[in-house]
Amino acid sequence: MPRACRRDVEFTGTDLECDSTRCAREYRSPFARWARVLCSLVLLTHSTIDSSDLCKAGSDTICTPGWRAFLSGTTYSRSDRLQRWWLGLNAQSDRILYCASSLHWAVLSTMSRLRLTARGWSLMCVLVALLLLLLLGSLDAGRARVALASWWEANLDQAGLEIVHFAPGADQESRALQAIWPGADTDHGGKSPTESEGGYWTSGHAADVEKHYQASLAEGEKAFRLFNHRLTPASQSEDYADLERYGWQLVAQPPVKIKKEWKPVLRDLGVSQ
Amino acid sequence: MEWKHAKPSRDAATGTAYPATNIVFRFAVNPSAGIMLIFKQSTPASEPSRVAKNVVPLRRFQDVAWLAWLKKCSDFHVSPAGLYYRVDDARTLDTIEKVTGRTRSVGWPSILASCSLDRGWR
Repeated sequence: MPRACRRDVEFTGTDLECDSTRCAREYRSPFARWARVLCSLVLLTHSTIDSSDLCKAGSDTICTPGWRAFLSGTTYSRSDRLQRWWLGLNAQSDRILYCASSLHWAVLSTMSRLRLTARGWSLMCVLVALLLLLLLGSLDAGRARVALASWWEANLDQAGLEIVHFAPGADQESRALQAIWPGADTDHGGKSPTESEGGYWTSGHAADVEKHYQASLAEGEKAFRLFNHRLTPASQSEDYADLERYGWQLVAQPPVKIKKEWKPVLRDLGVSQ
Repeated sequence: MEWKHAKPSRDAATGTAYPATNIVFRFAVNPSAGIMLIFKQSTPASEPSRVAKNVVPLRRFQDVAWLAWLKKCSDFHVSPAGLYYRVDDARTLDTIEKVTGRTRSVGWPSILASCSLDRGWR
């Protein structure tokens, strides 16, 4: 059973154990089946994908609850720039997401419960073919992405899909926090956890991002997570040495003993001790 | 790991002296799995009896846990952005109660698990 499924069940339901019946039912969605086939093909043919942990290899966005299948990897454009990309789908909310993080743009589509017309599904076939070409390295990654984005805008919205562009930024993140919890401390100390990965949060399109954040549970979780990191920081220090400088001592670092009640929780989080 | 504010310190720039508060934070991190387990989360602000006259700037749980997380991630060569889960055994801060209540009200998924810790954990 895919790990993503277990995560989703753990977060959205009250059962800590993954319900295999429920997972199987959701995977019967036509698009989910397609994505799984596509995923398998790419895993077999694309050597740059870290098949051991796709979630970590991609973006943390795609690792949020509800995402049923995802692909990620790195390719090189003709200018030899490293391009990170990922593709995911959320069968629960009927969204698919394709993002190339290095270009700070993404295309997010909300499908109206995947009830596409015949024309819609034929367009989807073309999309899958384009993606396969991209993933297999037959096209220049950068050019293919642009072509893909144009194709989405030109075709998918006519098939009843909503297209939203977003590129998260620090300001947008703050607004998202405010949307989740008015009055929240939105000072990130000038440095977000992801800045070290190439300034992923540095720019964006405010209106679309805000719309996206308010509509997207996944992004809301990301914002909450970031917020939770630095809930009420009294210090803005990012220097580990400051701990000792200000009188803190690591007095014990024993193995963690966890009672059996915790173990189902951790197991569902994918943590093995 | 167990962090204790055990030593007095002094701000080199301002000369302000900060006495030890003896506050202890206990938590565990797993950078590879992106998880932080929090066993004790108290702050001088939440325990007025322990508040010294000049409270050290680096004093809140988030401050200490964040730096420890950064260090562990560096040791394990993983991105610090991958903190996916934090598991608390108690929510003692009003602010956390507020934010969890708010996020639940807007549909942010979460779970509540009844659990306890071994006495042997330190």
